[in-house]
Amino acid sequence: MRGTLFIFLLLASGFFIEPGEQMIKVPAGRFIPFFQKKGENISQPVKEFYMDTYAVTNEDYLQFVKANPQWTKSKVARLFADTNYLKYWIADFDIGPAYKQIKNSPVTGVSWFAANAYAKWKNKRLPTTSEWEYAASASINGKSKDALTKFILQWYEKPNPAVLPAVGSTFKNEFGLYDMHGLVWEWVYDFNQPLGGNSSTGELDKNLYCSSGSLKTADAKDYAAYMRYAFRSSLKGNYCVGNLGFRCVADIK
Amino acid sequence: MKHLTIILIVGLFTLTACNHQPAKSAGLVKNENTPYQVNPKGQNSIYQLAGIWTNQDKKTLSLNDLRGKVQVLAMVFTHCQAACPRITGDIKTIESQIAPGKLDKVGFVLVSFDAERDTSSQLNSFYNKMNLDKHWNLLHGNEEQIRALSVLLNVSYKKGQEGIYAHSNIITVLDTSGNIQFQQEGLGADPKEILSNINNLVNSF
Repeated sequence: MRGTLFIFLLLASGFFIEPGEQMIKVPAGRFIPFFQKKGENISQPVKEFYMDTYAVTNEDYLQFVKANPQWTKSKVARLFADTNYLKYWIADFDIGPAYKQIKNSPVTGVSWFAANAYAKWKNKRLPTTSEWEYAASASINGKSKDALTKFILQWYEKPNPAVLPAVGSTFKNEFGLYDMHGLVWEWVYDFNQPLGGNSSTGELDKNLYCSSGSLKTADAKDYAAYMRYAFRSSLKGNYCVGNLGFRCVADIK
Repeated sequence: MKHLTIILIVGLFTLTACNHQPAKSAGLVKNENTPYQVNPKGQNSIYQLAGIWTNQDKKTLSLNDLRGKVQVLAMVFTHCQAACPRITGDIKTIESQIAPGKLDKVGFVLVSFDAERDTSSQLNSFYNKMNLDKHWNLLHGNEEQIRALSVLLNVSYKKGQEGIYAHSNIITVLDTSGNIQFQQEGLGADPKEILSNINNLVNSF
C-alpha cells in the first residue's frame, strides 16, 4: 500500500510540475522570414534551442515578483512598464479573488522589460522573432499551412474572453509546444526590428533606414504572420497589453 | 490512504479533462497606453538602464554618468557604408551651430549596434576618422544592453548578413536627467528644430 501510494505521489508530482519549468527541445531547421527583399527568397537557418512548453503563468510570475520586488506593481518604474502593468492583479503580491481560477493562465499585461527580467531570473531569455515564428510554424494535428493560418485568423477575430483559460488548454504543435496560437500573443526579444531586408543595396528609404530594399512578403497568403509583425512593430518596450504574454527559451550548450 | 489515492486519481482525470477543453481563444486587445511623459520623479529617465559601457578611450561608464549635461545621442555602427557617417555628420553640424560658450553643457554620444566589432579601439579609429572632439563619447556595450537601449529610444534594428545592421536613424536629445526631450528622424534634416530644443535645455540650467 505504502509502495503504491509512493508511486502515485511520484506520478502525481510529475504531473504537477510547474508548467514554466518544462521545456521542449526545438530541432534546428530553416525559417523563411515574412518580409523579404524582392527577388530574394532567403530562408534562414535556426539553431536548435529549448523553449518553454507553456507560456509563463500568473503563478510563475508571482514567484518572480516575490523574489524581485522592484518588479511589483507599486515599485516598477514607468520607463519599464506602463500603468497597465499587471492591471488585473489586486496588489503587489495578490492576484485577487480569481487567483485559483487564473493561477495557471498566462500572465499578461507585462512589458518587454519585465518579460526580459523574468527570463534572466530563470537563466533563460526571450525568443528571437525567428525562433518564435519558426517554433510557431509547426503544424497542429497535421493541418496544412493554409488550414493553420485559417485557424489562427479565426482566433485573432474572436474577442478576449473575460478570463483567460489555463496554459495547455488549446493545442500542442508538432514540436510539442502548447498554445503557440489560440491563447495569448507573445513577446519576442527583437520585436523592434525594422520590417526590411538585410542587404545594404536597397532603395526603399535610406534616409530612415540604413539598409533597406523594396519589400515583398514571403507568403502573401500568410495574413496571420502579417498581423503578428504589424502588432510587434506597434509596440514599445514598456507597453503592457491585456492579451500579450510571453514564454522563454534557452540555448543548448 | 485509499481516499488519498482516489483523490489523486480524480485529480489526474480532472487535469486531463482540462487539457481537452476546446480552445477558448482571443484576439488582439486595443490598449490605451500612456506615452512617455516627463515627471518630476524622473521615472522616465533612460539613465535607469543598468549596464557598463566602454568608450573610445577604454574608459568605462554607466549611462548615469552622462547626467548633468544635455546629451545628443544616436545609434550607429562603424562598418556602416551609408547612413552612419551621415548621421554623425548631422550631429557635427548641430555641434557647430551651438554657441562655443555653451558647448560645455552639451555632450554627444554614439552608441554602437555592433557589440562584436565596435570595440574601444575600433570606436577610437572612427572617432579620429570622423574628426570628433572631447565632447563626444562613443560607446561599446554588450548585445543585451544595446537592445534594451534601442527599445527605450524607439530605434529599430536588425543584424543582417555580412555584419550589416538595418536600423532606423534617430537623433535623441536628452535633458540633464536623461529624459527624452526631442527626437529627430531621418538623415540630413534641417537642424533648426533640434537646435532650438537643445538651446532651450542648455539655457535652463
